[in-house]
Amino acid sequence: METLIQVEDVWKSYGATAAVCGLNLSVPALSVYGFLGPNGAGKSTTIRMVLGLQRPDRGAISLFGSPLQDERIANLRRIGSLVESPSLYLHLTGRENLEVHRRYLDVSKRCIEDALATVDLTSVGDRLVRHYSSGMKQRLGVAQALLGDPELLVLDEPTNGLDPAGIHEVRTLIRSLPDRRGVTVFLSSHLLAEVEQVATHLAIISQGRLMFEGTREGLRRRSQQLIVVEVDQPERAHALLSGLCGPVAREGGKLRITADDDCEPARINSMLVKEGIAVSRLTVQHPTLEEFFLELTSSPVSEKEYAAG
Amino acid sequence: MTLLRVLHAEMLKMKRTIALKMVLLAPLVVVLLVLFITSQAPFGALHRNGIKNEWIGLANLGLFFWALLMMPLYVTLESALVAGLDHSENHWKSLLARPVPRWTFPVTKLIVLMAMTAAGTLVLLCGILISGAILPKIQPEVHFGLPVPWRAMVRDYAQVLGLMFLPLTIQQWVSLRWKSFSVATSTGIVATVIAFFAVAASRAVPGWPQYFPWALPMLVLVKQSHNIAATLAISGGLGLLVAAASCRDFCRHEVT
Repeated sequence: METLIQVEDVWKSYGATAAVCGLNLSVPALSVYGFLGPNGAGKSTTIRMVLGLQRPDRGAISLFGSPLQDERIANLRRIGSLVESPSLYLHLTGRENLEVHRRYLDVSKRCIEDALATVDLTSVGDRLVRHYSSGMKQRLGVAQALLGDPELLVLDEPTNGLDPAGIHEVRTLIRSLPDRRGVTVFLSSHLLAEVEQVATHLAIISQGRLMFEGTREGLRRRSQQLIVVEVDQPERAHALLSGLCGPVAREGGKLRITADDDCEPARINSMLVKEGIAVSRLTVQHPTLEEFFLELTSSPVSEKEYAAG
Repeated sequence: MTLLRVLHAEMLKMKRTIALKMVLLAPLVVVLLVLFITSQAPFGALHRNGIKNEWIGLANLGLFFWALLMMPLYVTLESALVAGLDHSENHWKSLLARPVPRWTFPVTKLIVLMAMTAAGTLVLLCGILISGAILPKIQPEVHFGLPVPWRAMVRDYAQVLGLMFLPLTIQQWVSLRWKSFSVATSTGIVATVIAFFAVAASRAVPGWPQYFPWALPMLVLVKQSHNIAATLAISGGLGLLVAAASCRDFCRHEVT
């Protein structure tokens, strides 16, 4: 599959503060690529570097297979972007706002109507933008990004400041884009729940470092199950189970096993009973993706440990 | 072609803005001031400094207020407003991700600013001509003879405009470089006040140099002692250098 964005060992710092540290990303064509991380993780900095608004201190960024700065104008012609809040002129109408950007892109006037129709704003296109609701402004921002039929859409926190209805509108729109317009979407957010519903691929960064990159299923596989066993002989049980399914931690009479998906709790139970260890309780816990995301982004973990999703 | 497209976009952005309304409002204030002064003062006021022609006297009075006070403030405000259109809401992160060369943005903004300053000066000239038609009705002893000295009037107004190019480029650099509206406006206001004192000093002390950029347009009114053509050429060249430096600075600037 063609790779539209390739980020290789990119570093960026502001003075003494490191914003992005050796980041590697690979965005496949026709995917909805969710770029996740808590606030201040380096998402916006990465997006600005991808769009050529900032220069990396080190590393390389390629778009559509060619280095970003070598083919800047040609590459930007194939990209639509919405970075944080939409850039709208409140004293102009929706159509006039799109007309400003149409002139930069040198595309036909028809594109304006197509973009307005895609975001369902045709009927209010002649209204001044200052009279738009937040959701309408956000959708107009997406329409602006869609002008000129881009192959790649870069959306940075597109649901920021929206009410639940607005979030739903934008989410539905993003989900429909790859099929409806053949667009690859690079979507950044600090909310896993938001991205999880639309993304086919995910990357998670924390403190400027990549913690995970892969498919949604890959992330699910990584969020391992936790088996908690209460026994009468914890020391013997610990020795018996160590190395069987995964790391085992002992807390008094309880053993906590961080187990792989293929580890069966029934097997653990029968093994313990066979050795004469009485099992008084056995529970299996599956952390949600959100819990796993929090775990990934709250503790510094080496890139290598997680990068191959 | 790309420059034209970006210029068209820049012009569309000006629609319904206070900056566009200022093109009419600022010179009209000067015209009203001139009308008020000339309707109150004796007819001889137009013959100061040995000026024989009433039209030239009226045009110079308008030019005095325009060149010394209103135009520097007008350029200050217009440059801050034009740059502010894209500083607000941080439009740069969206504009600079468009497939156009970065240098086209400062260049088109400079063109728009120059066009608005020229339009303001033209409105003033038209207003002065209308004043010349109105004044005899207010003061019957005032007679504006014909023909109107077009050539001299247009030349003086064009020279004032040309000498404003250097301060205009400096002001545009400041406005683009700093997002803060107050940085841009206070720079212009302080420069205008300094220019005011520079002109006053040059009048009080003959031979005192009057080459502070914001005071240059006033040279047109005391042209006997200055080579306007040379000053125009030097200040124009310096203006181009400032514009080029501003452009380079803009292209290297990172969007945060």
